[in-house]
Amino acid sequence: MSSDRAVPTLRPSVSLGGMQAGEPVRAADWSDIARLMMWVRGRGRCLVPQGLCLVEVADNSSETLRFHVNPSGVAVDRVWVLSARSVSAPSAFARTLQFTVQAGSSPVSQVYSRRSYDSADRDTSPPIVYIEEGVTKSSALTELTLTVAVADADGPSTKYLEVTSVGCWELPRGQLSKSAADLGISLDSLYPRRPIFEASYEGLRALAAPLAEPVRRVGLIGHWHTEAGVTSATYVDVYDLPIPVVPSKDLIGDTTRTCTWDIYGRVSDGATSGQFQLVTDTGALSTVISVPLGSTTGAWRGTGTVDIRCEDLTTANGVPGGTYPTVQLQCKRVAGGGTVHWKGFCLWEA
Amino acid sequence: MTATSPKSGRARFATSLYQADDPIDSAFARNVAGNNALHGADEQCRVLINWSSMVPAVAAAGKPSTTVGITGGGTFDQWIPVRTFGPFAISVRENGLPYKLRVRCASSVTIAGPTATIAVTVGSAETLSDIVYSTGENGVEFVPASGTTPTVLTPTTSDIITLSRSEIEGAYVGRPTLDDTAGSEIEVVVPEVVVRLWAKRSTTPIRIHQLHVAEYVG
Repeated sequence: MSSDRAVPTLRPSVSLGGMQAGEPVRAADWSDIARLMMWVRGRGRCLVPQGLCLVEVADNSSETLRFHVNPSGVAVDRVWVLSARSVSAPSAFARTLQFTVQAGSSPVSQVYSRRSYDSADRDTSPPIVYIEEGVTKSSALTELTLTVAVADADGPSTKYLEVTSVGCWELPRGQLSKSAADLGISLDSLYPRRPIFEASYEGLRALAAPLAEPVRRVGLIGHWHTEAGVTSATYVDVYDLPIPVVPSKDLIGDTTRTCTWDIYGRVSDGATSGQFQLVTDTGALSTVISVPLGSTTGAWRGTGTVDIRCEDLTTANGVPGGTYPTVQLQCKRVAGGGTVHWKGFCLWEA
Repeated sequence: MTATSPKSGRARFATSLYQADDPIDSAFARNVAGNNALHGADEQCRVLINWSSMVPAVAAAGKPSTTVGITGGGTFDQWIPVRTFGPFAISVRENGLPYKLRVRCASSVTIAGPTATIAVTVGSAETLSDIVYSTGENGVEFVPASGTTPTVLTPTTSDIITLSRSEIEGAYVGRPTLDDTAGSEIEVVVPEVVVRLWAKRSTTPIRIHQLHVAEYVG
C-alpha cells in the first residue's frame, strides 16, 4: 500500500503558530493539514449508535433490522456490533442457540451462537462483531439492513433469540484514492521543495474540495424494535425520557444544526392514518412525517428535518448552555379507528 | 476553550476563488485551511451509544420491557455488569491520548426508597472482560437514586471519561479490508473500546432507561 494517500491511524497534529501575515507558509504546514484532512475523511463515521433494539427471532425464522442514514460515501466496509441472547423455556435450563447474521450488500453470512444467561440481569458475553464487505461508496440516503436468522434444529421449539442492541460504524480506510468520491490527497506532492503545479488531487489544489465540505457527524439515533403502536388521536410521547442528541457544529457562529429523521411505520388497516413529529428541548417542532391511508405495509415514510442545538466547543463536555439538547418522538392517529405502528426511528446529519 | 481550531467553526469559502494562478496568502492558510481541517477533526466525534427505553403503553404488548436493569436475584450492594456495548472505533491523537467520552444515564427503581447506583466504564475488550468494577475506578459513577419515575442521573464528579495511554494500549485491533472498492487486501489498525454498564442496588429492582456515550474532543 502506498504511503502517498495513506489515512493516518492517529489524528495528526497541525500547528498554526508559524502561519503569520507576511510570512510564507511552509510546505510542511500544508502537508500536516493534508494529513489531517485524510484522517478526517478516511477514518469512518458511526452510522448507527448502539441503541434500542429489542427483537425476538423465533426458531426457524428471521428478522431484518433496517436503518436509514446518509453514509460518509468513502467507506468500503462496515462493522456491525450487536448484543443477543438465547431465551428458552423452561428458563432454568441454559440453552445455546445458533444463528446467522448477514448485512445488505455483503456476500457472506456468519454463524454465531449464544447461550442463554445464567441470570437475566447480567450480560458479560463477548459482543458479536460482523463485517459488512463490499459497501457501495455513496453518501446518498441509504437503507442499511442486517438480517438475523435462527435455524437450530436440535433444541426445544419454545426458544428464540433476543437481539437487545445493534450498532454500525464504518471501518477506516487504509488509503484514499484520487477520485471525486474519495478526494484523496497526494501527500508526496506537498513535501518541501516540490514544485507548485496544478494536477488534480495533488498540491494545494487537492485541499480545496475537502476543506470546503460541511462537517458531518452522521449517526445520532438508530432504533429498531418489536413493532410498537399508538391509537390516541392526540400526540403521545414515545420514550420514557427525551433522548439526548448533541449534533456537530458546522459553520462559525452556528448554534443549531438541521438534522434529518425518518420512521419505518405502517397502519393497521386501510381506513387508518397517522403522524409522527419530534419535539426538541426548546419546544421546536420538526416537520411532520405522515403514514397515509392504505399504508398497511411497513416502509420508510419519507425524511423530515428538525433543528437541534449543536455542540459548544467552549464547554467542558460540549453540551451547549449546560443542558443537553434532546428530542422526544411523538405519534398520533389522524383518521380511522385502527393503530399506527412503527419499528424503526433514525436521526442523523445528512 | 477546548476547540483546537482558532475559530471554533468551519470558515465558508468558495473553491472557485482558488483556481490556477490565484495567490494564496498566509491568512487563508491559517484562518481557512488550517482552521477548517482542525475544526473538521474536532467535530468528527462519534456517538457510540444512544439507547432509550420506550413508554410501556406504546411498546409492544406482551413483549419484554425496553428497560434493562437488575430484576431480581444476585447480591445486594454489589456491582453487577448489566450490559456490554461495542466494540467501537475511537479517535486517538498523535500523542496517544484518545478523545474524551461524555456519558449520560437515567434510571428508576420499582419501589421508592431503596437506592440504586449506576456506573459506566470504558476500556479495551481485552482488559475489560475480567474487570470487576469497584467505586472510584476510572469511569463515570452517578449519585444513587431512589425514585420510581425515570430520572436523569447526576454524576458524582464528572460526566467525562478520560482514558490514559496505558488504558488503551491493548485497544489497537488489526482488521482486514480492501484498499478500495474491489481493490487489494490490506489491514487497517483501529483503536477500539467496549463500554460496560454497571448497577448496584440495595433492596429493590433497578430499571435503566437511558444511556448516552459520545466522543468529545475536550
